Amino acid sequence: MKSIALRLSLIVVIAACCLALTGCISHWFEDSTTRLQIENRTGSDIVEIDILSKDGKTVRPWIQDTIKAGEISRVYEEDWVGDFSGRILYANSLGIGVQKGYFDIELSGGSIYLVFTRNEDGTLHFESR
Amino acid sequence: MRDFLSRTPLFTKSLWAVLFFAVSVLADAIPTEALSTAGATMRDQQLREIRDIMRGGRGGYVDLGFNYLPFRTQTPLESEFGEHQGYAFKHHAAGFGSGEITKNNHLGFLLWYERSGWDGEDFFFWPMYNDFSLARSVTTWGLSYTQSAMNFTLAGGMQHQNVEYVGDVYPHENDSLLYSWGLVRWGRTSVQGSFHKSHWQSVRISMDLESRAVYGGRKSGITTYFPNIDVTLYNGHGGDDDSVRVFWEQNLYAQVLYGEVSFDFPRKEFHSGALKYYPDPSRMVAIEVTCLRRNVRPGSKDLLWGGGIELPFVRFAYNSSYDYETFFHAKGTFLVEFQFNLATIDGLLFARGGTRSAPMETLNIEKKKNFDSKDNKGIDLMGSAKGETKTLDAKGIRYEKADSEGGK
Repeated sequence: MKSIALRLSLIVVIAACCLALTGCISHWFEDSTTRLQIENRTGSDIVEIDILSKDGKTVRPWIQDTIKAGEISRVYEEDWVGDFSGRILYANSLGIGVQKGYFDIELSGGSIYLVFTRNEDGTLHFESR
Repeated sequence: MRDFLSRTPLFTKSLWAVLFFAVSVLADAIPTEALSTAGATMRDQQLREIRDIMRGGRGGYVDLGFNYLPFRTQTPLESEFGEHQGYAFKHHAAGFGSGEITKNNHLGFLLWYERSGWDGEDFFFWPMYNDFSLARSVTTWGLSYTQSAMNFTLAGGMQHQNVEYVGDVYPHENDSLLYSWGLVRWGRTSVQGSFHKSHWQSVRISMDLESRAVYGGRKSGITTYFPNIDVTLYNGHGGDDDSVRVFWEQNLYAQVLYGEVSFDFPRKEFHSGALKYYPDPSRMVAIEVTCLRRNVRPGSKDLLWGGGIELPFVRFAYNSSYDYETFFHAKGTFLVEFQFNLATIDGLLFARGGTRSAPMETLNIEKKKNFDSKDNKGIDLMGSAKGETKTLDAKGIRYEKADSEGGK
């Protein structure tokens, strides 16, 4: 009985030490960047994905390569971790000109795989997988 | 869940509640402006601490500390793009040492260092340096000369502000700034100045009128209730933008309960107030309630109320005015700072700002008195003052035969 209590207290002490150390090593098990990959099922080309400033005046591009309809992009890694507003530029259904879509996104870091589809009204929709 | 709670003792329930609150509390984001203007705050804070240690002008001082943030949601960064998760950081260390070169003439060297900012990862030495990081250090060093018979101190040196990394969401700033500083103290009055090239940055006149036992003053009496006042004039670099901050520290009860208040001029408005309880006048332990005007909202809604508990090696705080001012306006979250500071003068030990020596020193003084008393014949190992030998009678010892089976 005594040895069990001793072992338990030892485990508690080790756990407490680990918790105490998370103040300097938590990035060892938490992602501090976001790796974004896009699957384009919209039926038209996605031209660009950006992060927008809150006033909408400043744009920071994330993906500037064209992702053709039905294709999957490569992985783009950036430092965005938190709550942001995004913008997507895509070719319209006729393939002439570029349309803009806006979205809010919460990024907790790590790998994100987004599938973009087109709604019946022509707007875009995405979901995470 | 309800069943679990109804069967759990009250203590465990409270523990769960505290843990839940500590983890789930949503901290307010720190603005990029607070980080970009923090260099001046850091420099002023270091000079203020040096002024405190130069009240004696001799002896020694050591300080070491860092903020501990286990969750990256505690100090998110508010930039023009949104709220970034990450860690504000502050690592600081300071030291002062002096020696008596000739009778009553003391020469000393002091060094203050702080590295702080915001980064996407938590670290001790190597930051992540992401697009939104800022890392800056301020180093203050100097030499001091103290004439203890005249109670006079002259100190001066340089202050370096270096930016090691700035992300592109902050305004541009000079990566290396050099300032000079000087301090003259006569008795309980001191004047401290900070300069950049030929321009003055700040001038602080301090009148530490309170009698402090650690500097040869009284332990009690009316003189311990005299106030400590400092008036700091800051250069606004624009002629009319010069400002003055008046700080008043008042002993309210037996050098364990203090009130602090500061006002800004020419705006003629309240800046901050605090009620601090030091269970021991050495100030190793402190409990404080603070109030600060943030200048972001009108009226009483602008006031930030908070508090903290400082123990010899760790400090816990919530919305404390010290953290708001020196830790980039961090608020809305529990902050933990592992820190230690100890000052010494003539063998007395106390924390910075302390008025009397720590209690452990009292025991040494009592022992010293025993040795000095005339009727003392020495203390033998058994604790008898008169040298009588004492014997220890052991009872209940069981003897066993040599051929008995042992170890069972």
